[in-house]
Amino acid sequence: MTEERSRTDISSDEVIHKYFNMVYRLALSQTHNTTNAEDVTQDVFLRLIQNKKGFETDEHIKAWLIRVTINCSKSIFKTSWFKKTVPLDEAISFDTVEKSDVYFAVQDLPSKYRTVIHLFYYEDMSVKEIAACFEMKESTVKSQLHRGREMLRTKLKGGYDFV
Amino acid sequence: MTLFRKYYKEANDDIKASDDLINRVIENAHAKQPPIKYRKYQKYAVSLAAAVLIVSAAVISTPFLEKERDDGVIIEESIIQTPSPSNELASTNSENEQPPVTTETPTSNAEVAVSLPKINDSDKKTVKPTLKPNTNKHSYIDYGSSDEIQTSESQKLQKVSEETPQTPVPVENNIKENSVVLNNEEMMFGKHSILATPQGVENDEIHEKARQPELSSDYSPKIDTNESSADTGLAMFSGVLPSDLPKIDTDETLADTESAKEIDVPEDKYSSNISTGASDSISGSMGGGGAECGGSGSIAAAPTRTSIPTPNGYYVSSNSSSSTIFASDLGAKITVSYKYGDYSYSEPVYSVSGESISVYFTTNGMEYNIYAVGAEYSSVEELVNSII
Repeated sequence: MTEERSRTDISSDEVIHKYFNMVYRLALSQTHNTTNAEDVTQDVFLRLIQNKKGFETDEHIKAWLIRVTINCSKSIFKTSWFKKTVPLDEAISFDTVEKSDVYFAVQDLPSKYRTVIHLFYYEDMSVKEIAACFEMKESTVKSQLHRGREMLRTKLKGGYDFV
Repeated sequence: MTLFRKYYKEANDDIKASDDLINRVIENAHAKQPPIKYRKYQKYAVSLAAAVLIVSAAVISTPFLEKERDDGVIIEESIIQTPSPSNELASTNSENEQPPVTTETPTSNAEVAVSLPKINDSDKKTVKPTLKPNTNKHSYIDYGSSDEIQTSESQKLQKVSEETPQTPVPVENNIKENSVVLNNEEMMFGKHSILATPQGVENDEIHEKARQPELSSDYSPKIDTNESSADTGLAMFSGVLPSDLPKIDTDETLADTESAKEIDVPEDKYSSNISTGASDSISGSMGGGGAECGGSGSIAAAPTRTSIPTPNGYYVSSNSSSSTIFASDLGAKITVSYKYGDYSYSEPVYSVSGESISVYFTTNGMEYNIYAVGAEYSSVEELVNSII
């Protein structure tokens, strides 16, 4: 193994360890299935290693990983295998009711609202960053956030503050 | 009010991937990587495969494409059409074994053993080689009494002449059984003249006639290979008739013989002689030479190329058995290629391309291809008209 490859592997491993959970959670929110989420995660990091482009900053890497995760999640739904199979019901349990209610309420949202809500409230990304990541207008992101919140308020029956 | 953000974060924080999953993903990600050494060539694999496929297809298909020629240029054929008389004899004389035919161009002063058929009583009148030197232009072999000549033989000669204009037959052939060797050191036999043997003729009859040079009492043939080589197959020969050769009783000249241009030899002519009347054939008219060819011998029925006079302002720069090249001081060049062909006549077809002029036509049993570079059209036309 050459030094070049060892250095690349080390840096890749560091990135994988750093962003693995982020990618996994995002993939899980998109696929609703741990098995598919694992596949998506593996695919994302495989692409990361095979990617020849250099990343300037960590934010760049993060944005790249988020986009690839979303795209891979969408592509897995298009496979014939996915269309012909029914995913196993894997129950995700939480220790509190609020966590469970909030999490599953977000999971019930449409994909585009769910993604924006997840990035905004969990990844703490700003509207501008989300718009830049998906190459959308900020107004679009804002509208999607607003509609997502409205739907969550309806589901959660207004007991939460969406700050 | 509880914060949505707080509970949503806590819920997602509870979701963690196992370390086993992480390690497995890392291993699979690295395992699927190609070696760094060739990784950079991955993207060229498809294009490289396509290039190899195209090149191999081109290499395979190239031989097939080269066979096709659509340039319209008549390829000059240097092949001298000289049917083997031995084959003809074999077909006509099944009883006798035919030795292999050697078709070597006679050279000057070459020694050739001429085997003549044994002159039987019944054949005396038919075999009459004349070996006396002859200064006449037209020499022939007198076959004795013309009455003895069978018409069938003339017909056979006619047939042979039509089919095989040039039948070089070594003298030694055909006279296997009945042979009288002529020890003539200087006798050469042209390819065409004597050697055209008619089909169906028995060995002891016309063979010798066919092969014998046209010799009269005054014949003094002279080999002129250089000049006669321009003519396809027809060659001059010279030789001194051996003294032991029987004289020809009748001495008919070729005065009445037709020009060698005639392909069909009339029976009456053949009855008296075998001459082909190659008065102006071959000879060395190529480039103006050939004056030395006093006695031109050629088989009666064999077509001969008409002499090609040198165009005005040109000289003969090269001469071969199938082509002649005229050149001028100004750098113009006219190449005349010829070969034996069918006996049809075709009008000259001129093709002008830039400074080159090409002409194709057939006449007198010969196919002519003329290619001129830097020459004037009038010169080429003059040449063509002189040939026709």
